[in-house]
Amino acid sequence: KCPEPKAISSTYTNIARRFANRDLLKNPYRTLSTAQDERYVFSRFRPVTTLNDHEETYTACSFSIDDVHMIVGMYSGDVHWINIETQEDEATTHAHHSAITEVHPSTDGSMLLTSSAFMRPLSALWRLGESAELLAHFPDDSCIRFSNLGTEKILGTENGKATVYDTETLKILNVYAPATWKIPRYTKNFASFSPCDSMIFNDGYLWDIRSSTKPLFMFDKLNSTQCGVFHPNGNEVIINTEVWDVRTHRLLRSVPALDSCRLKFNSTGNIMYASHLGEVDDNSLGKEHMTWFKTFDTSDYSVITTMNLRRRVYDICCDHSDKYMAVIEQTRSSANDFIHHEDSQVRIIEVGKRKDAEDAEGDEEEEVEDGN
Amino acid sequence: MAVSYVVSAKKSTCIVQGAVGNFTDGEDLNLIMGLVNRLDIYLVTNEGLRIIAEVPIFGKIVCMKIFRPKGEKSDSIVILTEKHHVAIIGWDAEKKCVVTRAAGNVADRVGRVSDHGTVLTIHSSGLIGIRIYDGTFKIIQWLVGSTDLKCYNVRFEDLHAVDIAFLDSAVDIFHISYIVNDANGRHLKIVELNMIDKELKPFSKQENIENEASTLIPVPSPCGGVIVIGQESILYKADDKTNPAVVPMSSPLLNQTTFTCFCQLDKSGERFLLADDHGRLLMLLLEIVEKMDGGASVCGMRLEFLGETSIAECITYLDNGVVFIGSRMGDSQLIRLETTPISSDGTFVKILETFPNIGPIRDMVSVDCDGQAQLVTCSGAFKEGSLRVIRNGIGIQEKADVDLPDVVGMYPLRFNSAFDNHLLVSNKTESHLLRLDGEEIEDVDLPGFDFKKRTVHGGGLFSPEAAVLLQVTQSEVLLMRQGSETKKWTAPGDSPYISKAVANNRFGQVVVCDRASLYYLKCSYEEASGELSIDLIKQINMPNEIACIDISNRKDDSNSEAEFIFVGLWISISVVGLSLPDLSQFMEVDLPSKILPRSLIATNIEGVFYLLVAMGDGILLYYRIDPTTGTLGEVKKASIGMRPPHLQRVSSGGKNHIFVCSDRPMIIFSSNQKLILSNVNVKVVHAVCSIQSSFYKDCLIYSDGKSMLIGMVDDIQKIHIRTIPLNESPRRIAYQKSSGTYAILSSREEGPFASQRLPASRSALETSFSKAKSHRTDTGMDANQQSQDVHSVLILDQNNFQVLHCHELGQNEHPLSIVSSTLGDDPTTYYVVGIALVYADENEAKTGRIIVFEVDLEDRTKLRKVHERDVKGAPYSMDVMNGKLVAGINSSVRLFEWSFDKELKLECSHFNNISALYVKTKGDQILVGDLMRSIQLLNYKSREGTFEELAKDWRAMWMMGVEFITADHVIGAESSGNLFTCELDKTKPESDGGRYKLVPNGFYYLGEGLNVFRRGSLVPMPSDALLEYDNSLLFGTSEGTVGIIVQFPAKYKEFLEAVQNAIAEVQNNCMRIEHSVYRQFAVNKWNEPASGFIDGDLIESLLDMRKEKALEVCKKLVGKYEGFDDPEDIIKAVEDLARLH
Repeated sequence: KCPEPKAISSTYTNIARRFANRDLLKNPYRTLSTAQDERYVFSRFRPVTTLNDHEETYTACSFSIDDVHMIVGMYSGDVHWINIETQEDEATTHAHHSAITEVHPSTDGSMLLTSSAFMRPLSALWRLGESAELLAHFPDDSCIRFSNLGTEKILGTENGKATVYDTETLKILNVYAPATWKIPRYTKNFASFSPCDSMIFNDGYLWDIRSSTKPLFMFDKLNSTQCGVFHPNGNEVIINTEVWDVRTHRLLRSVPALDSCRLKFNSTGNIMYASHLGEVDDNSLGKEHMTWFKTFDTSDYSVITTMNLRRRVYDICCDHSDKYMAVIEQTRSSANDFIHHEDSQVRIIEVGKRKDAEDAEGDEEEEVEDGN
Repeated sequence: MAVSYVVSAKKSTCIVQGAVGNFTDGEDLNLIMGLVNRLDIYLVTNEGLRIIAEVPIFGKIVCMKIFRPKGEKSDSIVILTEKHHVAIIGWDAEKKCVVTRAAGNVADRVGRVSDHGTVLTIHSSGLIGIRIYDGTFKIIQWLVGSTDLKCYNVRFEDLHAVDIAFLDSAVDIFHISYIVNDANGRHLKIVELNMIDKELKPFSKQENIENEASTLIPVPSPCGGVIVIGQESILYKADDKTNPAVVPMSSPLLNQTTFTCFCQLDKSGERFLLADDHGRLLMLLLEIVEKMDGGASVCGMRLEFLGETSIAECITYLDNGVVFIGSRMGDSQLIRLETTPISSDGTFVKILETFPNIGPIRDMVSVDCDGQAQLVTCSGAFKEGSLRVIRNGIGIQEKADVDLPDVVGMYPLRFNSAFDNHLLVSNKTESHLLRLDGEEIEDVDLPGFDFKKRTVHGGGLFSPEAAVLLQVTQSEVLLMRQGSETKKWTAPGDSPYISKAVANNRFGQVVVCDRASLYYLKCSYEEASGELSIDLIKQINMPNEIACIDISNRKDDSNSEAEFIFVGLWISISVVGLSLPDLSQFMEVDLPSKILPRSLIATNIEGVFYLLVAMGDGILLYYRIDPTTGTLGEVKKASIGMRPPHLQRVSSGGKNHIFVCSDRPMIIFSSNQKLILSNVNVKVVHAVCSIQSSFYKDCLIYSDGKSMLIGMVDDIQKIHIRTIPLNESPRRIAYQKSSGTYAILSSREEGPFASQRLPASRSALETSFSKAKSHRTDTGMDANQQSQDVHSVLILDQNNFQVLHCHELGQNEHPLSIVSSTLGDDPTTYYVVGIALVYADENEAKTGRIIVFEVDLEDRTKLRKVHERDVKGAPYSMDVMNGKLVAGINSSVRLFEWSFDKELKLECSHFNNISALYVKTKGDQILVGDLMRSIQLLNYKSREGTFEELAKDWRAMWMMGVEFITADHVIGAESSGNLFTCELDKTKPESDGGRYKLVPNGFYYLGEGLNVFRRGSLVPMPSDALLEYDNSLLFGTSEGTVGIIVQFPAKYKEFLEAVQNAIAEVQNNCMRIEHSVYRQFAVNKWNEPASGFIDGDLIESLLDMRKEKALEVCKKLVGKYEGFDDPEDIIKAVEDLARLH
């Protein structure tokens, strides 16, 4: 038998033991020890609150930049600001005429982007103040995003075409689309900026932001739906189950658990949430399927934990201080021949705490259970 | 808003980097030590190491390497800091200081910081390679002469490189070797850097090398190639495509060995020194065969054991077999490698010098000891583990004692000898003459002396050869010499009573005081006739009786004639200066006190003339004075004890100091023209004198009332550190006054690698054991470990630190916290220990226990377990609040009450944490530091018996320590080396429940891993402090810094910030970055400008500047702030700040 390697104290699996030894560590072991602690934190989740409005269906969610509010988009096209602490609905804007698909506040908290499902204008830019003030419509872009290092640019996606707008003037700065489509496009395509805004990833193509004439590279298309996202560290793109190196364009690894998942990253980028999203109008999936979210360690894409939710998930989002994450889940669906109605709720889940961690004697915060 | 002033009282001593080279000159051999944020540059001389410069670095040093730039005669240093600033530093031989030759930042916007750490490697041509992020290698091409660093990234084929090193190859060929970690194991690869395409091209590789291979050692030409170090084997691979020789090696010396560092012994690269994490020093020898073409190749390797040293962090080979072992875990050492074993166990290592290191400080406790604060730290780990007792003061090492009580005066005599061979000793009624004969001290009788009276002054006059002795008793002055007639002088009057006498022995000037009369006598000796004489030169009457007197001259040099005397008077409470010989008055000053002056000294220290007057109430007044004109500077005050003090000149280490005899003995010395009063670690001193005998060289003799002691003064240092080696890892410490003990949570390693040194837990007088209740066998991976940690609770005596009792814990019991306190109404003081039950297959401790121990006051080797209770998790931290125990247990904060039947009863709990790692109490408030959720304040409502969440900080912060500054102003340290403060904003509740917000109001990058905060200070605030402060805190870091944080009121904030900024502007800054960039709060990608904190280390650097330069800096600030209208005022204020520690 080969001799066992000697363990370094940063690799202790037990957090009490890591705590007892971390003051002796130097880097990189200290960082590794903190990374283990981060895994520990993101292996524990506890549902704390449920936002429920029985007359409306929640379809998209996002935390406000100060994490005080939950910005939720409705099936009706409304956007609501709900105070997480008090659960009061503090502001409402009728943003679109169809179900909201995405809401994105800007990093300085001054603006908001919304997108909707099928009625034009599909996307809009809002200025946030006392109330939301419409700044612009992006009628044909099904999805819009701010640049990562500031809010000076907006990236819109219209089918396979990615358009970069100047936020101030709303002029089109550039359009990124291949001259000819060689293969079918991804069905769910969202163009995105690379973390340092130097590149654009759209429909499997990687573009240098300075040149719209020719893409840098096209990644092999191994699925037909998920177009992929950048890892926040900037060197990887995750296209469905495949993780690719942006620089060498090589396949780094394959993570089957990521199949058809929406991905969200925590504030450090070390932890990734993944959940398979159901469509509001999609009845093809049975209730029993894909009702979970998982957390991944993005250094090796290993699953940290799986949180079973029992219901279909419409959207997931996480806050900016790693305190909460939220899921929109389906509560009940009623359908007759004419109207198909879905009801949903937003479940706010606290990070780092476990349901069973508390004694019966001091169970102060009551567990909010759903109605049915 | 108060501002936090952060300063290090004891700068870091953990050596993380070391290098040797010709830095200051091509001819000089320099040792450069890299400490956390400074470089210490030493010159290697025949006598040892001599420090040349201490260079502050704006940043935490991560890598430091020395290299020879092309075509230069001396070496330069390249430094990389934690914030990714790079600088190339050289030496300016003219100005004798370091110069930054080039600097820049190498941080990338994108990239994942490698798990294997930052690597910096230098090619022999001066090309620098840095790996910070996975998969990219940054090449820095620095053209000598340019001030900018040009760099570009090249890509590695593989993401995870464990170690990277340039190989020593021909000038234009850049071969880089690296160890790759992938799913299949580890491989060695050698690639070639193409400078034109900026690409790495594969050259050769060796697949599937040892799984734990971690270090690369490039072998210099002509062999070339690289050595790969693993835990079980060593491998050599040649850098040659045609003949890819691979030489593997294993050795019985390699067994789960983790090597920490290496160094090359000789230029040819035949021998290397390796050090492992157990402090073993090994030598790796390459067997080299010369090839036909003049080249050479390695055909074999050997490993030899050289001996045991401190656990090394870096090794540098100096010369002539002398090696510097830089240590992080323990003291650093300078050793010599002998050619033959120096002891039977085959060690070749001889320790020449030890450099003390108090890091890493894992815990500490501040103890009030004889009215003076002392700090006891848990320092180091493994075999280097120790306790360090830190006092601000000076130590006296006792050498001998003489049983002679009530001594009030001591006067050394030189009698036909180059050394002090006699000592005239006086108590209140009689005198003795002692002869110092080697080590022996005996009572002798010499004719002429009057032993029946108290001696007021004594000494040998003129020169040792003259052998003329002087004794001034309370009634007469005696002058004697063997073979000559003894001369006497008596003060005129009915009942002469000589209360005081002083003399300049060399010139025979004697001044005696009889009540209000002052007599100036001159003694003389005619060598030819052997005749002695005493002549009265002048007599005057003072207006009041004389209380104290001193004789001196401009240089305070006893080898020159005395020029003046200073006299302190009764009733008028004044000091008068009289010049000699005419006793004309040249100055007079009324002392700002109503108490009688007891002792005074006029002296010149570091070119500044001072008048020091010790008052009867234990206050020292001191003035700067111009002795020619008698003009006085401003008066300063300091407290020097509770009883009437006595000042005495002493010399130590060739320097003159003032010794304060009192119940708080002190030594007054000067540093940077600033008087420093430093405590001496003896309890009480009645009289003192320095002595220079043939045996007791450079010693002090002092009397504590019971006996006379002879001791040696430690090197004058502000902080005195005493080491108590434990030879195991101390983790937590608590002090118990009632039993006079310390309790330590400690662990020792048992297994094949255990050191020879005896761990403290094995040396205990008494032992007891506890077994974990559940006999669960641990199936986790730790069970495979060959070595096992044994945890114990040690009880140590507070004075001699003997281990009185060792309570050994069960296999899975990990002690985490300890407090000493009384509980409830129970008068007994207990030690309360929090233990987690740790199983390797669980990711958190599910259960733990709290044990209450009592030390038997009669027989302190007995430790009684009073109570034990199980808790649901790991008790990370504990504190006591109104006799109740507060514990952070996993995610909860819990309050336990001590019941009448001596049991801990849970009173209430609060569950709003991930892991409540730190709890501190103040009044009814509890401050909780969380694993990730920053800090929160809880309020205990005693009536309801519940916790209420008062306020919390909403940010994500990974905490390393928390402390109260005041009840609503708190400080926290987080894991990236930053400090922050928060204030409870009570103006508006955040929620209806009455919860408030903790508003962040301070950000600061400390650049060190803070482990412990304690309320307290090292020195009390001087009563005459220019800037008043409060709420002093102490902290200890992993890097071994003991720091102080005090709060200055808001009115000084702007002033202190202005001073800081003014100094930052002119401060020689190697990294060429702004001070504000250095101190900027930074966590991952989140940056926040430094605010609410003042960098004390920077401010105090003003005192190290040349005076003109310092004045120039201060000039800019003059007039803008009230009370600082003169540059000198600002310097004074900074001097004042420096007295904080």
